[in-house]
Amino acid sequence: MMCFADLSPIPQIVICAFFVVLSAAFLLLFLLGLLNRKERAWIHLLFALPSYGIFQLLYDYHGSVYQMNRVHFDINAGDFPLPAIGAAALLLLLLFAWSLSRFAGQRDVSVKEAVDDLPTGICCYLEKGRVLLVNETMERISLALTGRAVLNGRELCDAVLPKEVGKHAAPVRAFGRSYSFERSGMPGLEGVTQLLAADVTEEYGRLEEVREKNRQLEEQSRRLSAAIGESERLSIEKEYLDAKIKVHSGIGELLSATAKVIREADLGTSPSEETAAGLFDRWNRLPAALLDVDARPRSSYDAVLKAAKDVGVRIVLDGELPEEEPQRSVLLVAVAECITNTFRHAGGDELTIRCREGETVFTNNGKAPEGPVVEKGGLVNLRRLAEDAGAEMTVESSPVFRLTLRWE
Amino acid sequence: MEYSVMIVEDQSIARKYFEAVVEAAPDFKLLYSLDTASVAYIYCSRFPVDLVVMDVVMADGSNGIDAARRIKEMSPRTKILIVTSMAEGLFLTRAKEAGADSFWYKEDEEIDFLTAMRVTMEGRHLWPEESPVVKIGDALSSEFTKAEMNILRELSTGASNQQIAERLGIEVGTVKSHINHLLSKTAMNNRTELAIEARLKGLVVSHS
Repeated sequence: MMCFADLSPIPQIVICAFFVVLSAAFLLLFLLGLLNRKERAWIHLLFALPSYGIFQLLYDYHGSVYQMNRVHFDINAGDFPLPAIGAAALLLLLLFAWSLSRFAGQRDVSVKEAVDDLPTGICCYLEKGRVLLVNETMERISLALTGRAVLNGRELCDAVLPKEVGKHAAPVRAFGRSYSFERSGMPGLEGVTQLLAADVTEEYGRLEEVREKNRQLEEQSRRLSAAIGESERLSIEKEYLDAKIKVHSGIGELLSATAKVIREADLGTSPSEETAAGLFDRWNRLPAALLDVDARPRSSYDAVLKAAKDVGVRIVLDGELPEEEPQRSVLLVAVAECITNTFRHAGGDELTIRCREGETVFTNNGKAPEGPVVEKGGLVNLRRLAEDAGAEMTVESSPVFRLTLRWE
Repeated sequence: MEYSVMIVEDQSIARKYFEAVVEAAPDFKLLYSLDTASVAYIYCSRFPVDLVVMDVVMADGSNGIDAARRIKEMSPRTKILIVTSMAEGLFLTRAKEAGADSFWYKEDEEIDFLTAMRVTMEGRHLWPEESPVVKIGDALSSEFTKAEMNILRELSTGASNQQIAERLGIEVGTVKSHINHLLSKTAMNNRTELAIEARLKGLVVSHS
């Protein structure tokens, strides 16, 4: 204090002003700390108040010295209303701080409300699932899907996302809306995971419409194919019925002509020889078998067996030919091919067919091929059929001809 | 001379009629009569068949034209008479490509079956200039253009416009335009009705 007293008035005023400014600076730092939610902001206040106290002490001292030595002083700090200015400044700063903190509070609430109002659900959580941030939309989604609020981010993720990594999750319905979930890390925030639930109700609705239309088209296509298959059968049936009608018309016409001749004969008019011969000829050309109109074709297998018998090849079947398609159709073609090979190339009369699970082997008696079998004509066609049906075909020529068809 | 004949026809009435005609004719003898084309080549490779009377569409799914090709490859001297009642115009072209000797429509009023066989065995080719005309809705099949017939064939497989366009190598718009022309000509209500009618009348056949 003695040192301060030794100073002339001007430096004293400067020192007083320094402490006022110092106090204001600490106060400002305190306010900024409050604004930024710094936990140690109050430390600045600890510095601000003593600074102002020092200023007030020096100022009071300067005022008393001035009163005692008025004649020596050219200037008086009291001429400057420093305490009033300082107090006003402090008051203004406090007001400013209060309004800032209020604004800051409002800002936090507004941001929270805005986040809650977002149509997208947001949930940020730590590695073990501790929730850092969750908005209202995600809370509602969680309630709708799991029956409880978001207590653990990982559990929520497990409930709404597929287990397989990289698998695309189908939109999930919650309270009448559709949500698509996406999980990602947060850039710059190590260990924080973000789960977003985007509202895709409109998009999903359109997708569903397209799917429904596709489903309807597939159904129409299936029905059309069935109708076409049926029409194929009906066209064959129609051809058959047309022939039947033609035969019946012919028989009816012949009966009428015969009845007319008989009636005329009863009346004493004998038919001419030409007419009688014509009638006999027509009746003779009408075989009784023609009336067997309900005969139906045999099955393809029966036809193959009959063909084998007709051409003198005995078929030895070890096992059973599969009933399911397309295996059966391919095997019937193979049987026909091997029957031809047996009598035509090997000069044999017996074809052995060994059927095992997923494999059918054809061998025949007679002479073995003289060299490797060159596939052409029927064998080429059979290979194409077999491979189209998912079978593997192998042809061996030594020690005997052997054709194998294998299905996975 | 007596020619050996094999009849391949799945319809019992037609088959028995053919059998009766062959058996009654002094210059033909019936060797075999089959109800499927799938094994016809086996017989032809075993026996000397002079003439094969071959239907086209068989109930078991086998195809007479494919069988005819196989027989001709194996036994070129065997003559083949294709017989059908289907109006599918492609049968004519394909039968010729397969090497068939003659083609006879079962409804032919001018030439009977026996004449058709004799003409064929004389080494002449009986070949109709066009397929029979059938009525599809309000239109006659002869009113359809070649392009429209191609579209109708694909349509009757149940294919979509896109698939038809891809198969025929044309624009989807062209397909739509042809289908609209067909619907307009036939006065059919929709493509399904048109496709089924064309199938039932034998104008287009899946085996074609």
